[in-house]
Amino acid sequence: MGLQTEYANDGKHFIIHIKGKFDFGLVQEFRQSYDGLSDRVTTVVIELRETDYIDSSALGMLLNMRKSLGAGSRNIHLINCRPEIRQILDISRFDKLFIID
Amino acid sequence: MRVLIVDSSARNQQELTTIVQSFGYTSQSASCGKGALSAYANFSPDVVLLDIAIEDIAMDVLVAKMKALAGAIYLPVVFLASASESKLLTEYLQVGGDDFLTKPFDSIVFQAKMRAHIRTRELSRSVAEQNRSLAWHSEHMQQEHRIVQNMFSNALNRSLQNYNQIETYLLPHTIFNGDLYLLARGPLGNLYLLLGDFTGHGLPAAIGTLPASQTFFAMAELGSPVGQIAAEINRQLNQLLPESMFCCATILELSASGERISWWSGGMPPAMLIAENHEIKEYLQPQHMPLGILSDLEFESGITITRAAPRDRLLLYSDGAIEVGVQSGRPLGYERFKRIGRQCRWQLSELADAIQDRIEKDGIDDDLSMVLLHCLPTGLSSKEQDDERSKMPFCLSVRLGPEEIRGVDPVSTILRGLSQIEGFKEFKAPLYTVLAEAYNNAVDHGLLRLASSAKSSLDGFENYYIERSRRLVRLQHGFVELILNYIPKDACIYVKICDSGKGFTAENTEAGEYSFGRGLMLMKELTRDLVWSDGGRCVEFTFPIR
Repeated sequence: MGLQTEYANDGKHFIIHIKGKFDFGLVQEFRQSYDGLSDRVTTVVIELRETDYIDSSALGMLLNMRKSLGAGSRNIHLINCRPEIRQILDISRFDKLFIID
Repeated sequence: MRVLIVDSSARNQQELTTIVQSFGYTSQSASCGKGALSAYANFSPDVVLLDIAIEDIAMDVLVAKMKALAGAIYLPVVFLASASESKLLTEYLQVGGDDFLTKPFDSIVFQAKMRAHIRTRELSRSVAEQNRSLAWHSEHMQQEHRIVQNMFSNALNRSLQNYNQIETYLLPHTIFNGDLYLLARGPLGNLYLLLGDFTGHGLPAAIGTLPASQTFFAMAELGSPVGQIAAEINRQLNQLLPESMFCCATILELSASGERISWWSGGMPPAMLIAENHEIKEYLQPQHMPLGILSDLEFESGITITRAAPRDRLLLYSDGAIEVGVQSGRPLGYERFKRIGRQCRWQLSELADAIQDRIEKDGIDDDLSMVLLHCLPTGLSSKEQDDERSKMPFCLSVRLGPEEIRGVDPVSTILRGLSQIEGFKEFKAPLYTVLAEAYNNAVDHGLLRLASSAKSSLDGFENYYIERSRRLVRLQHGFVELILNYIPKDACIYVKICDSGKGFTAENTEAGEYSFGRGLMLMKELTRDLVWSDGGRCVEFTFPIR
């Protein structure tokens, strides 16, 4: 359960792993995780392979992240979504704002 | 010591018996070739004294039969002849005899020759003994190798076979490969690959492949991140291997789309990402120490993410490939390896032929592996669970007061229970989403009277949740009730969630529509027959099961 972050070896990717439930329980932790991100980071990767559940508050958190990172100036990748999680991102048309893979 | 005397003359037999016995040997006599052969079985002589006048069997045949009866152990055959016959002896020696004695016998020469032949026979006996024991050990070892080899192939045959986006050239130096190549599918249609190289080669190097491969397969099946797989294999090898042994490895994951390579690499020569035009786009330089050296705490599991364009290829190889010819002083080397690769347009079969030519010229003394991965959508589907769905209807009713609402997460708890029911696992995520949306609405807007329009600004979003927990602490009265009714024949779960709040007025319904827009959209898409009743205090919907 919870959230873990790491920089990839090249320092260009910042990876946020979300385990278990992605919902408003993570609001503060999630926002703090990308505060003061190194300038070298070009891509933020949300690693969802261990995410079991997601709800609309998580969608709100992702949109806020996008806004606060300066919409579009850094890529945000939502990766390794399980099909059920992918379905929820698709319903909300997140594929237009994020790179989902 | 047993001496077989073969002489047709009884007098000669008697004379020889006396001499031989005076040396302390046992003797037996035969008067013809046939007699000699039949005496052999019972008497099993160490030396045969054979009079050249024996005629019933041709001399060369008789000698050959005697020798054959002795098997692998040297049986000295000494011809006896009178001085006048002695010029014939050279001829006789050619038919297979080992020595001769001429009559009249000189006792000293006789004894010396007997001793010499007996020593040779002893020596031959002990060599035969050693050969037998060597043969036994060798057979025994081969048998053990076959068993172990079988275990290795069992351990590695979980590897994904005949996958058409991978080409390999694997050349173990001995029957046991110290290079390790593993391929597995992940649960999300992603592809996991490991290419490793244990220090040394042969059986000691191959031993570590057993735990490493089992860990790799188990974690790939769970869809674990590459860094975690590396950390776990490192932990096992660090525990298992002696200090001088370790495993260089690249572990990677190709996303289902084929566009993203997440990799961890320690101690391997850099894999090469090759563009469609055969140019090397990028080197996957190893960032870490090999596996099995660092303790769990020191280990670095950091990965790198590399984007691949469609039809890019990734070439991984063990150092055996660039060290071809090292022992003959003509190492292939990294630059020449790349040059050959370019000349072959990085076609693995051609590259392998070119390397094979080199090996034939300059030799090889390490395991060699090359793996070419085509970066395309993996074509592996996500795993479907097709458990038959439970046929047992049930109704679940949960009523929560302020205390429980503060203390438990009912939706997670309900889902944890439901996912134990056959066939429910596969839709637990969307069911969670809709229940969480409806339950949170009941709590937030029903009981806590939060206006979700507050969420629309950046700070507002977080403040909304801060305010929510503040109000939740103060909540004294009220309840939320969740009712789930599963009807198998309808393939539906009927859900009703009510709260004791003030409900929606026309005014805040609109506000509600706007603010929980995304949540509402999810509910509309994932459910049927979504309706509010009791002035907005109850929401009901049908959750269809695929």
